[in-house]
Amino acid sequence: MALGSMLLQMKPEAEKNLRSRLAELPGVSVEERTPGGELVLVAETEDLAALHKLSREIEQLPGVLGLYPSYVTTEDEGE
Amino acid sequence: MEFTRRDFLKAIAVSAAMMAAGCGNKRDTTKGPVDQKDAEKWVKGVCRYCGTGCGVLAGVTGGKIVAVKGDPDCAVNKGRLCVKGILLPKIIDTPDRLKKPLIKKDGKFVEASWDEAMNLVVEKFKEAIANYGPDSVGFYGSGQTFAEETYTMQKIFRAGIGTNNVEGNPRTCMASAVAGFVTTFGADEPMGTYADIEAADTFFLIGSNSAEAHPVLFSRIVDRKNSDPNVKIIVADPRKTRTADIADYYLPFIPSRDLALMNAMAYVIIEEGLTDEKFIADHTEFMKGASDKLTYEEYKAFLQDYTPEKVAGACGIPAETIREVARLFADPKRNTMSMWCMGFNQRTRGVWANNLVHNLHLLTGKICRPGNTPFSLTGQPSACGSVRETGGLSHILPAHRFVANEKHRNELEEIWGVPKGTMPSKPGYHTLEMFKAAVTGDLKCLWVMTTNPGQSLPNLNYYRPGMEQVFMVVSETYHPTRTSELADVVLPAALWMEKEGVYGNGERRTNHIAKAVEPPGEARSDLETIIDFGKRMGYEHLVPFKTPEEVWAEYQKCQEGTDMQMASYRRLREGHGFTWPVAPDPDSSPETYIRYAEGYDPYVKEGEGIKFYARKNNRAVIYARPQIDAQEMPDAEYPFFLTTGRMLEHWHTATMTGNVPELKNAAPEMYVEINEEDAKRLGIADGDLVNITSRRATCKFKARINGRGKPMPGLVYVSFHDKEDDRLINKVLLDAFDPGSKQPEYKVCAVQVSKAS
Repeated sequence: MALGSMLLQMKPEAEKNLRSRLAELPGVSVEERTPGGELVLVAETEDLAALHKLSREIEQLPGVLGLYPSYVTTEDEGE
Repeated sequence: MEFTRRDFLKAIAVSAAMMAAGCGNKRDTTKGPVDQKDAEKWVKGVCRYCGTGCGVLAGVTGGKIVAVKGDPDCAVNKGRLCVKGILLPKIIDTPDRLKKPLIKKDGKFVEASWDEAMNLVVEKFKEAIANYGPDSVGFYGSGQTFAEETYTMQKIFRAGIGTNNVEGNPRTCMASAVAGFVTTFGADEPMGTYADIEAADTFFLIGSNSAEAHPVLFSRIVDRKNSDPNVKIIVADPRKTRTADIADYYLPFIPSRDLALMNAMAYVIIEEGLTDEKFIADHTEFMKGASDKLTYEEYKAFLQDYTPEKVAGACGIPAETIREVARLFADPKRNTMSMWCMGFNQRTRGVWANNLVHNLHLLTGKICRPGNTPFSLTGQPSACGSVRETGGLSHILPAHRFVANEKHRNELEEIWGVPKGTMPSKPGYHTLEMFKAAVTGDLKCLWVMTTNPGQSLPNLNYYRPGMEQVFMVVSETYHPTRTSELADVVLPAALWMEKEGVYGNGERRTNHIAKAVEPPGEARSDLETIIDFGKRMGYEHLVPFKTPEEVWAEYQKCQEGTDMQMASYRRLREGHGFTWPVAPDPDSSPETYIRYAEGYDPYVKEGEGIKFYARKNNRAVIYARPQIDAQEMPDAEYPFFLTTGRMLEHWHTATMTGNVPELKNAAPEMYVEINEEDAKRLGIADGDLVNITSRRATCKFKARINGRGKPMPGLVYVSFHDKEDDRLINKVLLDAFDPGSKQPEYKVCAVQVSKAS
């Protein structure tokens, strides 16, 4: 399993639509909204490749200006 | 309620993201790395990729780097990273990692001992110097080496061998910015820093796709824009990129016509009374060339040829739009920051383009105040720190000195303990001259370090045979690369945090990288190799160093008495980067936010206000620079412009990012972006194979229409990361270069576009 957090920057007017789209993505949760208007996302996927693929998918959603990973781990509970 | 290990990791992940968003607790940033529990140890470093200079922390477990996160205490990125940075651990243990020296015998590489390899290198260098003189050998370094490495190598070449054939790949990315700063302000490197981003109201981004090439800086610009609806962004670029997504004004100018565009902006600024006349009178002078002075009135007369109405057609930008952006740029109630990168620099008139953006800031007095600065973005992690500052180009010496200046040479000769007159006064080969000399046979031995000219030079089909012909030593982490395949000796180099050293980023920030893990096999740091070379060549007296810190101590002596004093090694180790000058005491003085400005710059005394002290008369120059087109413009035979650049997932020749499966899979091969109208006219559909043909070569790419970048009609774009022969786009490019900076014109040439059969 891979787990990563990332900051999502967006056009302010796109937030509502983006939240709905993110809610439809399995393994993705919106954890916080920073005072600067960025969303803190956590994504959990099968492996790192899937995490990267998911990140690319998020990055291409309408209104997204940038996605910045801040933490990635592949450490599992059992390890 | 059970709190699992997974919950713990999730909490760390959220906390890291909040820290990166600037929502963490205030910390003492002079202290070492943060305490983290999810690796055995976390070691402080700097990202290996672009010139932004993001601080990173490498998590080490079991002697391996298993994770990377942004350094929350580094002012550059405050914990934030881009997708390449977060995947840095994957560039280390790769299938093509070179672990032993290689020597080419009978056309095939065979493993060798370090002794055998170095003996061969020294034998060949000595033979060439004895038979053909010191200028028959050369060094081609990189903005990715550590400062200590380039400093030591250039010292051996200049004070030992006796040649200035010390060159580096920043010539191909930053030389025009260097010459722009030097000609306008008298000294290299920007007066502002990234901190200006948070204080600017207007951003003028030209020749830069920061969303992909400098993503973390782009995120700071986005933060600034989202924090204040008053912030406005002008993006000028013939290709509509992701950076243009945040633009209030997008200016798709015709390639190479940005000189006219900026002259027209200057015209409007003067015509509409938006100048800062006191600033102009107190701090500037006008010139036409290196020594031809002009009056203000003559400069105004020069601009009469650049009214918005006169240049609108040539630039492809409506006159009223030029007027609007000029007003926005010059609005006295706003702070304005310009940022540019390779779109400006990689041009036959790159220096002039740099001069012209400086003009706009000087005319309006929008300089040397928070949020007001021209700012050149750099391409490599240490183009400034390891090359521009250490003397890593053929015409410069350490600490912003010049080869042609006898006093400068004598100062270094004294510090280095060699007789006066030891160092040659003639500048060495610039990059294209050096590789041309390999082709003509004038250069007999060439040492290439941490760079890949076999893929990155323009007009490659001309230069590659020279690399094969010359006795070439390549210090590399990976093998084969498109350069190491042509080498005679390949030396395995420790990578990034397998060694200790210093990087200097684009905002004058010097930052320290600690050694986190041991290099694999027999790979060793380039500094160790360079010192070994110096000793074997008989220059033991020039390399009395045992550690990078000892090199730094000597380099600091070179900085004394210049405008470029840097922090001590102790502070660099403990801190998170310092923007020079750090003076008068490198061990205790604060870093400098704004150069040339009282209250910030230690070299400007109380009461002096703004002082461009690197020029004899303390005045910056406003230049009359005419529009001159790129050397090769489209014509009936080659009707399209071709431009090249980077994409987010890859970096330079992809020797590193091509080894990261996630990045490789995201962008496995490069493609050509074509404007929708052009594609329709040529019968080309998305995904079709297309020939891109110049007067020099043909490459084949799949077409991409309306992808992440949208070139203007008449322009095609290719990212230059692909190493495959069919897609080696630099074969197609022109090797014309700027007469001042000697930087090649990668950004503009003429091509044919046709559907491949």
